[in-house]
Formats: sequence, C-alpha cells, structure tokens
Amino acid sequence: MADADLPLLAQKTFNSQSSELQAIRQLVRELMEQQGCTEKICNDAIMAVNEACMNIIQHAYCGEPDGKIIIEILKDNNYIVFRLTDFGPPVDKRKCKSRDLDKVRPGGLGIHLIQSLMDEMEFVEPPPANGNILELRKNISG
Amino acid sequence: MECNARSESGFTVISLQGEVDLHYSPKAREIILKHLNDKQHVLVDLSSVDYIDSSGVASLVEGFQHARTHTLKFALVGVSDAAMQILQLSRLDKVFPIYAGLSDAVSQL
Repeated sequence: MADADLPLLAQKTFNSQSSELQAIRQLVRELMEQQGCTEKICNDAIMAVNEACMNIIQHAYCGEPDGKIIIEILKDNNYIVFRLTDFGPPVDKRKCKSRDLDKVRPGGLGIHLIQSLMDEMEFVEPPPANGNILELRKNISG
Repeated sequence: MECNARSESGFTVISLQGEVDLHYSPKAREIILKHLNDKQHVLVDLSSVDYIDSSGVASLVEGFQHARTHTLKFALVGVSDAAMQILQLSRLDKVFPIYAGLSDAVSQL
C-alpha cells in the first residue's frame, strides 16, 4: 500500500462513463511520458488503468453514469502508483481473480490483464462511507 | 473508432480503426454479429487499430464463437501491434485464425 505522504503527481476525478476512458488513458500517457517511461511501460500502464476503470464502471457502479472515479497518481521511488477510488458497494475481493484462460469466452479478462501488466495490484482500506480503493503499482526503472 | 464493412472475394471485411474501447466496442459487436447473422463469412481487419481493450476483444470472441456455431468463416487480418499485445496477453492469439493480410486469408480459408 502506498504511504499517504508519497509525492502526488496528478489527481483527477472522472464520471463513471465509458466516454471518459479516452481522457483517462490520455492522463496516464501524459504522466508516464513526463516520467520518461519507455513506450512499453507507458502502454502497459495505460491498458491496466483502462481495464481497472472499466471494471469500476461496469461492476462497482453497474453502468450508473453519475458515479465518481478519483484517479491519483503517486511516485514511490522506482514505482508509479495509480490509486483508483470509487464509491460503489464494496467489492468482493474473493471474486477479483484471474479466470481460466483455457475456457474461451467473451469477457472476464480484466483482472488477468491488470495482473499481467502491473507489478502489484491491491485493494486497500476503502473510504469511510462506502466504496473501494484499488492501487496498481508499476516499476518504471525498466 | 471508425467501423466499416465491404464485400471482397466472398467475405465481408469489417475494418475497425482507431481506439476500440468500452465506449465503442458495442458498435463493433453489433456490426460483426449483424453480418454473421446474415450468414456472411467475416474477416475483421485490425490493421488500423491503435488501441483495443478487453471489451473490444470480447466482441471478437463473440463473433468467433458465433461463426463456429453456425459453420461460418471468421478470422482476423492485419493485426496491429497494439491489438496483438492484448491477444497475446489473453492467449487468444492461439485461438483466432490470424492472417497477415486479406489475400492470405482469402486464399487459405
């Protein structure tokens, strides 16, 4: 879990709408490029954050378009930390695991992709009222 | 995302262009399934896809499974690097028939 006093590189709030995903990817790209990340590391982070935000839109908010997604991007030595906060019902963490990829079916790839692309993925202590906080960490030292 | 379809050598070629994310993948899914429901063999051209997420990939999987169930031909052609990355991560590069170009697909399917 990232410490509260880690340097905050960026913070932005988005609505829980699929039309926001392009702006979310752009935010991650700009931040990673500012940090001098390689194209591959940059693309990995973009895909992982996009998948995580999709999960929030589809599962935490169940398509409800007025929910909020707060994205905080922090620096922790060689790691960039993406802290995603939503205010939907608490996620059942037991269900947040990669599925069997040998069973070919539409959907259910998000967690597998996030875990494949990032160095760490962890749900941390949620907001006081309701919601979830997911932290994704990416080592940018190459 | 841009999405268009044309007929070529007995196939319907559906070209997806740009960013195929959750906002646009329902449109891609609709077009792919529409042509399969019309009993057409489908090639999906991914050469101009800059980004595709798991919802876009799910649309392709659904098309592939629909085609297989109904004995129709379905393949991906000209898969861009961005699209290939997510297919490989999902191990779907071993599931979909994938061809370098349209002529390869038409001659081999």
